[in-house]
Amino acid sequence: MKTLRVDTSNQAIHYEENKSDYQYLGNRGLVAKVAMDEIRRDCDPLGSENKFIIAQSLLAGTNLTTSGRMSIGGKSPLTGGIKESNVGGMVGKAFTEHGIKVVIIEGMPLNNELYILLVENDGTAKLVECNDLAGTGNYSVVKQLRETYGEDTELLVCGPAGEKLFKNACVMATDFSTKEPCRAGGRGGLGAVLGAKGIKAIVVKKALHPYKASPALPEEFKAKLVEFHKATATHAATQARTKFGTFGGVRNNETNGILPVKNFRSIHFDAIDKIDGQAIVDQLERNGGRYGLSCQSGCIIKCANYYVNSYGQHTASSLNYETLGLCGPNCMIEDLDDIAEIKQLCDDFGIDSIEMGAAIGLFMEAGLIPWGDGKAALDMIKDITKDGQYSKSVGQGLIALGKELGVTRVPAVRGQAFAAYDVRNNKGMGLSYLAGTMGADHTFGSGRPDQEGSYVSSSIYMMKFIAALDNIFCTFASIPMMMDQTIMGLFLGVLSAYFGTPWGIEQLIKIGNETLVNEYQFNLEANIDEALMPKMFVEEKSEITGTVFDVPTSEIVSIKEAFIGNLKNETQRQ
Amino acid sequence: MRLNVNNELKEYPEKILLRDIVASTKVDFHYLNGSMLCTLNGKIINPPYDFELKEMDQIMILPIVQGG
Repeated sequence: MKTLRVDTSNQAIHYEENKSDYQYLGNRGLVAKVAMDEIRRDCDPLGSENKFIIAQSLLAGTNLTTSGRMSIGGKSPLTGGIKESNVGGMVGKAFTEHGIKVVIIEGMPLNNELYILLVENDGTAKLVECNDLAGTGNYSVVKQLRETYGEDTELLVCGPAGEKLFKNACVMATDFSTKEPCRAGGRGGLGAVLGAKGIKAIVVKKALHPYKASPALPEEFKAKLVEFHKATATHAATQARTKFGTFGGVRNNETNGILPVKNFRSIHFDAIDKIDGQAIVDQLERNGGRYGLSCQSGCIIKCANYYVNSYGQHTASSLNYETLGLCGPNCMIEDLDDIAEIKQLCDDFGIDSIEMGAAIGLFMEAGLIPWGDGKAALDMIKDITKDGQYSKSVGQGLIALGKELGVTRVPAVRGQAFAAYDVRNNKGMGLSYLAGTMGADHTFGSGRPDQEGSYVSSSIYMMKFIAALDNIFCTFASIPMMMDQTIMGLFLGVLSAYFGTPWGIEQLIKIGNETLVNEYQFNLEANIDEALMPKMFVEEKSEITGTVFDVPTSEIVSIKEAFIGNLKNETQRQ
Repeated sequence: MRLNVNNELKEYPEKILLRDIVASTKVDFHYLNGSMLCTLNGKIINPPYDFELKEMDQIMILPIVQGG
């Protein structure tokens, strides 16, 4: 496989051989490696020296379920540190079929021009000027570009938020089941990095001669894959995802004080019956919506859905737990139709729906919108998308918005809004926000307390494990094997057959460790601010459990040292 | 009485309650943070699960993992 390098300052495009040390890395690990190799730590995230990186899986080009997910990354305008965001949909597979493992977009157009990066059927890549698409929403862009380049193209699009350099802008990828640009590379403001490069959309046409990976032991690989897929697909954790998507745990999280309610007050949400997993499934069945959908071909988890509102109109794909939590109970909004419409506005504008839900919570906290008023929230979001009064401050991120509104209860770490978990009642998650490399990122890997109450060892293990799996495929596909050693064995068998050498858990952990060491080193050299837990979680007791976030600072230090220590050793070896 | 629990047909005493099934079905999350979701004939049932079950009821005890 190869690397596609694109410089938007002079429109130069060429292919390169992949570096040899990319061989045992994929997705997140590759993002971290390329960032370390190529991005100046002190660069302006929205300047010409930052790079927008796209990377494919370690097992790209195989039939391993969800290995078509890809990572995007660069230096985050929101956190100031490294950021990787894993995104579903079909565009990763489309790149892989062209044999493209890595895309590096660098530079910055001189005259604020907008481009489409077009990969033709034969793999030829070029930049096509598209200034006429400036300010156009993602859904319309995809429709127009498919009319021009073919219905079978896959796209990664930068919405108006990215063009306007909103620090919480995301990129959206086209989906397998719905064909819509509904899969977000959501967190860290990477949409603004792509926008700063002047890329409005990446259009990948179908490859004439699709690349297929060549496992070292092809027959064994095929057989092991069948076994692994069967065990994963029939595991109860997968069946839960297929039926109830990512929102099966809404009610339990509400009961346990984890669901964000009224700007993270850790109180009960009285309207839980209207938004829990069963309510959503009932709504989808009643109105002609669908669930159990795959965001990419070959996915056996099928956690996606196609939302249809009470009037029979399709409004969003795919409603998920984080959006539901932040845009629903966090704002006291109990109408699923309103929540779905908020998600759709966010996807079309290209802003992270977690960030937008948190921002609406601040507007309500400030008294500018009544709590629970979904229609007022929708009006505010529409105003933000049209350069309204608060557009600029929303685009600067949650902390800047809090300052402008005079709100002190701001649920953000390193400028990034909390996902839908109250860290008073999921302390491992809060610890990962503080000790991790990516701010309030719920996918970083969080642990549980040991018998002495320490989160350190399980957090380090989970961080390494999640980082390793982030090199390969969707973390949802990995849940059964994390719960069942037999399935883990099958997965290691898949890797062993692919590489032709025995793989144990230690090889996986090594990849995860290497990924994390690179991320920590990047942030260390970028000299980013210390992550701080907002006072609201430390000083205000959860009304449900009576707890506060009280993990000692020493645990944060111990986790960081596990990777910074590695760093010191690495440096000494060199 | 036969019940289908997590896609396996098993024999249970008459008048068994759903909460007995839930209590006897241990889910080990290992390092993961999670909770259990219970469905009866495809519908989510919330605690305290004090339903009397019928022959051939389908029960799923589903682990829901947080994050991701």
